[in-house]
Amino acid sequence: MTLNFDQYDAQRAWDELITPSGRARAGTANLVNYMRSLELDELQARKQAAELAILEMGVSFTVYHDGNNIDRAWPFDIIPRIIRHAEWQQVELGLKQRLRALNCFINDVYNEQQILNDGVVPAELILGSRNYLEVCRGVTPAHGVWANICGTDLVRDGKGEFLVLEDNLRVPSGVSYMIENRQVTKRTFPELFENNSILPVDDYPVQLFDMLASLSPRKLHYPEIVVLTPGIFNSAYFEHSFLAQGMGAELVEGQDLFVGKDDCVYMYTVDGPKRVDVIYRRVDDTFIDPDVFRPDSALGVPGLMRAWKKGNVAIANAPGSGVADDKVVYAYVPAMIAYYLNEKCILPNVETYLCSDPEQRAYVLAHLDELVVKPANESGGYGMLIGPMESKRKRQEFARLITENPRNYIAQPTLQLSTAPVFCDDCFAPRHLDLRPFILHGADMSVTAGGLTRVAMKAGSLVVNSSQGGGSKDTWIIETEKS
Amino acid sequence: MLSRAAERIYWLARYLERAENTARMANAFFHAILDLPRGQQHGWDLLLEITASEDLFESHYGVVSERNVIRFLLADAWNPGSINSSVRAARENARTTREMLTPALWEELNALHLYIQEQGAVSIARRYRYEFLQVVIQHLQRITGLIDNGICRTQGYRFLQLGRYIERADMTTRIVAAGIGIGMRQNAHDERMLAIDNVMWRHLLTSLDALSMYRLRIGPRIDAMGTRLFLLKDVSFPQSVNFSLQEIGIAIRHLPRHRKALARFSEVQDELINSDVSSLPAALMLAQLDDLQLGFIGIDETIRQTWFGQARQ
Repeated sequence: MTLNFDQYDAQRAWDELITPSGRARAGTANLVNYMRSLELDELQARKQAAELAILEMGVSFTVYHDGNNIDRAWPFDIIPRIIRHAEWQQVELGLKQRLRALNCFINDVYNEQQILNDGVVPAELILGSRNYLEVCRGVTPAHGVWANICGTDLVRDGKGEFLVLEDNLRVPSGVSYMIENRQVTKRTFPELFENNSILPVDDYPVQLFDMLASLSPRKLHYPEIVVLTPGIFNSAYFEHSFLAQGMGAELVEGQDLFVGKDDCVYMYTVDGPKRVDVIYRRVDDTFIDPDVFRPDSALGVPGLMRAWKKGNVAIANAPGSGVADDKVVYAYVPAMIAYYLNEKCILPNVETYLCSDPEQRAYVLAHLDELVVKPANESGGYGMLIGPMESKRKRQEFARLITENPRNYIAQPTLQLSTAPVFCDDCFAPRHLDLRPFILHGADMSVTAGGLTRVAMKAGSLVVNSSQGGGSKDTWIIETEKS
Repeated sequence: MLSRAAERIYWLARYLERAENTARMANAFFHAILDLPRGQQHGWDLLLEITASEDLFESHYGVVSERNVIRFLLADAWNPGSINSSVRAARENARTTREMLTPALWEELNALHLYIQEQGAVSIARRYRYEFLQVVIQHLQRITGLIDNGICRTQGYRFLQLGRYIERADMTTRIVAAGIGIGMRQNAHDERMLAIDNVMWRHLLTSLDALSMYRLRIGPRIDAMGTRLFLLKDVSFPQSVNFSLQEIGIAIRHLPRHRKALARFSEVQDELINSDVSSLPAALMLAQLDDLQLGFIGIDETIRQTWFGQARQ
């Protein structure tokens, strides 16, 4: 028995593979026909093979549950998601434009503050934000770039248009899973790679290395680059290790580093202390130096901020970059693009209501049953309200939270996220998904070919975070003859 | 190389070696038991003696039975020396040093870990035990092969060697000591014991996969003196203490700032070389083996102080 898409519901949302009339979208015919041709038991066998590959490759993520850390296998759906190259090129331009503007903004905020003085972005919004770190004032990192690694979350609306949901500028994660997903697909469906021209994704660690090297204060061919991790109990530890391995860099914890009398950073090695040029930090910025920020932090390195401000070490992302990683600031990105680049925004934002604005707040409170409410600062899908799906009590609770602390909340219309088929043991079924491409910005800029597609594994669910039961898919940027 | 990474790599190798030793021993003793006359089933407590875990075992189990000992050595997660715990600890150390290892090595170790998680409980039964131990040993030997053929001879490799051979020297010494101890206890009140004694040495050699190499190097007669000579002093047999010490010496000389570690190592090596293992009476031999064990602990201490200690200063 084979499966087909006759019963597949591609009408409720924009589907990545199947048109509302049930046909394969342009560029996806090879994949869709192939899926149709496989016997059900063959599909099940491939699914099991993929699960085994994930276990054997040790692709995992850690979740906190009842005070314990559990190393869980990475949830994965075997059917790839396809985006045509021609469309992707536009998205790429939009992502680069966005990050360029964001970096202009961060550098401006920590130096002249022209955009605040000109009233384009309200000063109190920024200077009162807990992500604004006064200690970074007056610093200009290499190339004027603060956020060197950005993970931007994209969704498609009901018409299939890409919209930006948020910019992750602190310690965005997921890129290792993007690469491992491709490895798993190659093991699971090797034959599919013969007939499709799929852009590779595994060059990311080298691009990351080159970008980080471009930040080095010492001009060396191979500067000493380290990945700073909070340690094995961090949910993204797998990725920290993966990237260090991919770059041939040391994976260090705070206890492995110290700042010398010369205000340079060193690591303890078997040969004795060794100077470090670039730190790719995967620790939140307020934990990196107990002398300056949280004195209780055991994850950081005393004196690190001093070494950084003196220009003796580069830190990526630069401390303080988080000032632009805020769902309120997000609303101003199109204005920043106009202000700094004098360009029109290529990738639109999702319509956003700022609860700090009295008029917009009144609208939000009156329409809680239609809106998604998000705290300005959290990540991982925590602390948000999906109005149409929640109880009245939960909505009342959020109404209270918003009224008490309006600056901390934004609201957006509930989007009908696009769907793609997942294989559910005996059928293909549509599930909502998003996409997180990664943008690197050092001396040059680059964007991953596609990114990490996260998919809600439950029917109808809009929550794609792995910490909340979401899964993922391999993402193909394919060159079609017509493009 | 980071000091902390060096320490983890060292322990990775120690745990891998420990798991393999335990697996091979459990396998050999399973066969040995079938050979021994009734009433002479010292095999299972001997295993506890060799792994220096009598006290721990007694704190949880009342009876030294085959089933209890096997469960204790293969599956029990609370026994830090069980195969299960050793492999898990090895995997944890590899997980935190993955960037120093090869993907193939990591996958092999991960596959072994999965296998033990799935099959560990079943392996207690005699019927499945042999296959279980065979598969575990094969995985571990593949890992050894991947280390030998895939890892650059840089600092990381030296710490792998140090961990492997310190654990091995320790284990082989304990096997010889256990054999001597049993011989002493039994010869006191049973004249048939000499024959059984030789059977026991044969099984001890088997537990190190050493039987055929013994015959090549020493000859067909298997006895206490021959085994002592072979397992302690033979320079060509990779499981012997002398061979292990040579490898430890090579690794130490390849590492920076090694003067103190090398001095401590040389003392221990001299002690072994100058010991007349084939003619010492049993009690004196046991005392010598005790000294050697202390020597290994001393080498381990100097390694920590020289190369691992800095990060915590």
